[in-house]
Amino acid sequence: MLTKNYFDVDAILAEEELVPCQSNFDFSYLSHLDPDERPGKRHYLPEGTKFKVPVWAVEKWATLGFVKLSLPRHFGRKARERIEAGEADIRKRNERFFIAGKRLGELLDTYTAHVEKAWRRSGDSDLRLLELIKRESAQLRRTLLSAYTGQRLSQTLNWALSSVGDDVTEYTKGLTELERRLFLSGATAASSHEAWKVYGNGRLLPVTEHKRTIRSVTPDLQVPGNKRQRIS
Amino acid sequence: MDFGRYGRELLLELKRSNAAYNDTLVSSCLQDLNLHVCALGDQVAAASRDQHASTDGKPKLSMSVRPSILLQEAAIHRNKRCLLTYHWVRLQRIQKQYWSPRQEENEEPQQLGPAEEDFLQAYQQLHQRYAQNTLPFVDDLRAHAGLPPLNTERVLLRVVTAPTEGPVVLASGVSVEFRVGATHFLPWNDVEEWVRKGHLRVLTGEEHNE
Repeated sequence: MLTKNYFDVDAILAEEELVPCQSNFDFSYLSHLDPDERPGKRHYLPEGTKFKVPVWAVEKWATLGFVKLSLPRHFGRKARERIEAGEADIRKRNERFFIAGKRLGELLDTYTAHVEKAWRRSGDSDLRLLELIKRESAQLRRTLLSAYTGQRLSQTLNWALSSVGDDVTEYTKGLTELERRLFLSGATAASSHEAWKVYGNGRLLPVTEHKRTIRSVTPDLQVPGNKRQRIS
Repeated sequence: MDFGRYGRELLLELKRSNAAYNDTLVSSCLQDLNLHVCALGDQVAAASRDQHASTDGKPKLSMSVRPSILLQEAAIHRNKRCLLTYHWVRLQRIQKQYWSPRQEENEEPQQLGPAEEDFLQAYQQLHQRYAQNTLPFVDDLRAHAGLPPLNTERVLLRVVTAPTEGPVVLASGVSVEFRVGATHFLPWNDVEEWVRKGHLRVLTGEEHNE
């Protein structure tokens, strides 16, 4: 189904994030997913094998309860504590950290919702694991929200709106892709506003996606704006 | 068969540069997709041969084969999405290149493949035909795309510093005298220059209620 995110390149690449899983039964034809498997030894992935697959590959399995999920290490509890303390280089962990984290939260919520329904029907008593995963998902969302909307957001907006003509490479190289998009939108709007103040009458362009290098955002002061003839 | 590798490389290439259309990578991605389709067909056929009757009497696929079938299906959709996105993004860039031929500072020009050159030409001809049929006095829509429309909408303004002394007749025929702190409701065409220079300030509804 085509949604507004279907053609979003960063959203697609964020789904490449590897998710640790554990198989709940034997998987035929998938022995190659076992990182310790010797080629040709088996034609199936045994029950209880721990392996990693991308988000896009595991989503359906998670919905049907074929695997047990857990969070990748750089989204885990210790990593989140370091991020909340401001000690972590977020972009180094994942260039699309916030998009991937949001996606993981959605995956865990879908997983817990479907599996809980199935386990309650079957009378399975292992609901403590589900409660643990729900808590992890909620804490992940809180960390993402506090990291994105805290000091980073105010710095990004400050730089974006006041850096017309400046070299911003040093600042933007630490931003994730989502933050870079925000920065570019703000910088383009600020640049357009500066150009309008100088030349007037030229159209103030709506902010769109620009494939610019993030070295400098400078209004083009060499090209005169369009001068509209007034009939008076 | 590498699950999603070629699709990922296509998108990374899109992010990195305005390079030419990568026919080799697109072909590899299509080939990968076809391999997944064949593998899916083989697995379903093999599983159908081995299926057993469930408690309700209807035949069911073995549980052990279902994860692989679902993974093949996910890989097919993944490759399809990457291919469609690659082509969609490139088409957006070509259209943007048509409407904004002046290059932005530091921006590399989009390199086009032969099919993309044909698309750009056909797109240009489409716009020219539209212009000829609907706006006979317009040679090129792009020349007029850069001009702002005449804005006769009225806006609420507060005078910060008086731009003129005494009463003045504006281009629209409205007569007004600007006093510091006064509020006026005037056509945007007449006052844009003064707003730009800071003599007048546009008010929103909230400010007017102060």
